Amino acid sequence: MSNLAKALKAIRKSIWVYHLNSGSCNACDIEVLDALTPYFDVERFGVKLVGSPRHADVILLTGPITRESLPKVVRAIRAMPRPRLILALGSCGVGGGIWWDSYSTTGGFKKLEDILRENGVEIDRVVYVPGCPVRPEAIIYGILLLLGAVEQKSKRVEVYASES
Amino acid sequence: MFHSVVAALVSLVLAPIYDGIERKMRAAVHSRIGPPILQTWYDIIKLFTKEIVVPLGGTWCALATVLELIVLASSAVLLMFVAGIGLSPEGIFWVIVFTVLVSAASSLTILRSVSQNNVYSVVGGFREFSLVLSAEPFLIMSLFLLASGAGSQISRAVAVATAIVASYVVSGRVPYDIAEAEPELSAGVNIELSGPLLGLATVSTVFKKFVSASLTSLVLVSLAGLSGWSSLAATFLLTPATWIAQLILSVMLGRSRVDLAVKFLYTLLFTLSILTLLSYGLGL
Ligand code: SF4
Repeated sequence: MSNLAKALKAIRKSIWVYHLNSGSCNACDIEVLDALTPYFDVERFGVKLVGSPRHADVILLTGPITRESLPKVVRAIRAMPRPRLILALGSCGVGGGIWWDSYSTTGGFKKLEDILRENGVEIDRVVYVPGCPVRPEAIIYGILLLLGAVEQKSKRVEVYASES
Repeated sequence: MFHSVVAALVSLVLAPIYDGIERKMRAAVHSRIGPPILQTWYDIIKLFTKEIVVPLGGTWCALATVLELIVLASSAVLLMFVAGIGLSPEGIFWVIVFTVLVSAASSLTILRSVSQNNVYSVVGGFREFSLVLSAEPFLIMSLFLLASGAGSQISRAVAVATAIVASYVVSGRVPYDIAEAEPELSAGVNIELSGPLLGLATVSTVFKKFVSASLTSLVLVSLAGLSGWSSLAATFLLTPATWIAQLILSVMLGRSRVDLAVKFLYTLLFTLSILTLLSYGLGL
């Protein structure tokens, strides 16, 4: 078993999440809060919301990472102890959403990952949860997928437009 | 002595399970399933497998965290030892040592928070300081009066009430969780801790709840006039019940404004202490 697999196994019964808004329209944030309400009762899986990135096992990242929020996002992710697990939430978190090529945003997690690497911040695993806004059930599924507690249902398919 | 140590060690292993039961019952109040009763143990074990990010001022912070845990574990053992004797003049020396240990644990929490070089943590430390000032002198006074064996049943009852209120504050439950204050201070005194260091701080929090619950049980048992073996057994068995009673109280109280929580506490404990001293002084 690899070191990461061992670390993920240890976290599986106690998952502390930190909510990081990087400039979202707030609809995804409302869904994050919804997932944490008694209705969905994520505490039964050991999920707990924490107030400091130092305590976090998983960061719930919403928003397209605006230029204003970028340094704070990098600092918050750097503050997190390893293994660093990220759940990129919503169309914005996944790929920038409708602001993917705007001058004022970084444009989603993929580009943030490159910036983090340049700054020497390693990410151990990331799961993308699309939706605009993302559904609470999808957030819960994404957390369990991140920790390997459930199997991924969809397969990755890459599609390229032909030159002709 | 041997029985007291065994009772304390068994209780300290059980304390995270009591905490798990508390979380389960809190979930039941919200009409949800809630975490398994071993959840606090899972949290602690997980934290010991995580990476440790040493905060600025790390040496002092780590030292204070480790010492706080040792002091709290010792105070739990000592409390069971006092329970084995009963709150009586024979055990007064150990009662004084116990109160010194409880105050030392609070001082170490303050040292831990101010050494972290984080504004939120320092604010948490000052809040802890204000709680210590408004609760612990009254706790010490009431325990001392109870252990002195003086006073009538009425005056002892007033002293017991003072000790119960002050020991609730020691448990760090709502609204006296202001030093950590998850919603506004982002965990306050614990904000910079991570991995095993946070694990130790979590164990300390659970031990504090245990010391508070067993102290409440002990003063209630002393009111019944028990001593020796029967006092130890009654304190040990009553502790889970007082733990649950404190939980129910915390659910009913809810959060309040920081300054109001401390002001109300000070007024209440001050009034109770005056009543205690008057009843002892007048020989009621
Ligand atoms: S994905 Fe949609 S709902 Fe979520 S932050 Fe972006 S625009 Fe808002």
